[in-house]
Amino acid sequence: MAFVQFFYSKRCYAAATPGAPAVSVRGLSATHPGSNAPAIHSISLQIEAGTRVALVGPNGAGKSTLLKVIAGLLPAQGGDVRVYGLSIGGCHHRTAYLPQRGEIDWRFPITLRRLVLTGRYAHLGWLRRPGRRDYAIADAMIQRLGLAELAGRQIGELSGGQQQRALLARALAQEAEMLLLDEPFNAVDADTRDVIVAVLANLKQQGKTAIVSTHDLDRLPQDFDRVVSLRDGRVAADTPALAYGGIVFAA
Amino acid sequence: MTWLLEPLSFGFIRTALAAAAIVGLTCAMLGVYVVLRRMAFIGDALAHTALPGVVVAYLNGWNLFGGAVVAGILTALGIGWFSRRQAVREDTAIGVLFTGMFALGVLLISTVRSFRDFSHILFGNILGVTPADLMLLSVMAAGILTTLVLFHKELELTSFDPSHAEAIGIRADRLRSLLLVLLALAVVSSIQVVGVVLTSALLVTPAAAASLLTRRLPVMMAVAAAIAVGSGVAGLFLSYYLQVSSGAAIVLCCTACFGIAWVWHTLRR
Repeated sequence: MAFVQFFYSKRCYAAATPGAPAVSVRGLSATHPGSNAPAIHSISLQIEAGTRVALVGPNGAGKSTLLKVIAGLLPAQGGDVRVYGLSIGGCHHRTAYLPQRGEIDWRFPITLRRLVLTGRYAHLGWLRRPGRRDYAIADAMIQRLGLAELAGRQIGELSGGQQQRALLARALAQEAEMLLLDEPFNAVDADTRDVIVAVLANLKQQGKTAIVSTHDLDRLPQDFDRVVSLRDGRVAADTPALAYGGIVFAA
Repeated sequence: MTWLLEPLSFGFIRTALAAAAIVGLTCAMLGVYVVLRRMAFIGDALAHTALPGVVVAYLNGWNLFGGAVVAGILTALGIGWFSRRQAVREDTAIGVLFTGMFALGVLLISTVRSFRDFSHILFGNILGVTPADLMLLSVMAAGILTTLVLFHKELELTSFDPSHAEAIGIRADRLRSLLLVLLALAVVSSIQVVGVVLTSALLVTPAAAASLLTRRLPVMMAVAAAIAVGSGVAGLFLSYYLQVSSGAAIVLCCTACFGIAWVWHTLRR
């Protein structure tokens, strides 16, 4: 273990600023590549560590864009984003991003186990192969999400719910402080939904943060701590989840 | 046994067999990524754009290999640059670039008296591989295969999930450029064996056949390599006994393997 490591990002293991919020966004604007109109305009938002935040709003409101900027997948065009007090890219290993299922090539010849193992790559960096500990962590997460019998399957042979659980297992294997989940409840079975919700509750107990974009408004008060509604790229409402039901009916 | 051993008594045939095996191995392993990432068109384009490089090198008395390598790598980087700015769709940009470069190569050829030398470039001349060429081919193959092994986990990840790769700080576009440069080197080495026109067959056909037979990436690479090496050897023997073009015979052996794989895949379902 004494080998020199070459991390994917030079600032990968920078220490988090003590007491800093999980996410602090000020005046953020961002545009999708190939488009002229900004997808989000001057958003300001502060999310404390240990909070489960639901991002809601119609399609095109900017939910995915906001998640991608926080994950470092899209550049911020204006404003400032801090994750655990560091600029984006300062803590790749602390942030796990779950893409929408459509962004992955599910026909690629790779097994579920190896997919989950890619969650360890942030800690390995260039040239190092996953070790025994990495396999152990990946297998534990596969077990935890009820996928043990499917570990050897090619990822395209899994159902939509199983694929979503595999992605969550990978995010857990990364041992990240913050999870960014883009539409994890989209077209999944009730069991998978329950598993994801249980994992989020467990993460909260460990003081970890989750930001989840969703269209599924029914159980927001039970499953989340805070609801941020986006509309046309701006924050339309930002309330504790328990108060959310009232706003839906008022609107 | 004599029919097998007789051709081996010629030094140039032994060199050609070694060249076919080395080039087949490299192209097939790389070809698996080409097929899985749907880059077959780029592979073909790279082979064609190498032509003006080869011709310019020939006219100036430089090393033909060097000319092809420079043209191939320039094209590889050019494609990466084009695809980043999204003014033109990537396949369109490649289509424009590669036909233009190929035409430039043909134009340059037509300024030279003897067209015969260039038929070797177009259709390959594996029997003309010298021991020095073989050395160069081996070095390039070793470089390509080492790079594939060292960056296997990142190449695999960016192939099926670029978002996760980017989120943990891997620049997917740089790995793509790396793959394009490796592709350019492989293409140049296979021009000696099957020529510009048929090069993409070595990249695509064995890998495509392997993708019908297995759903495991390492197995797929091994099967593709076996098909390519086997076809290289079988094609050379066929061309020796039937007195036909060696490049075409090698490619048709690959195609036959693909046909068998396709039938097997269809019957199994």
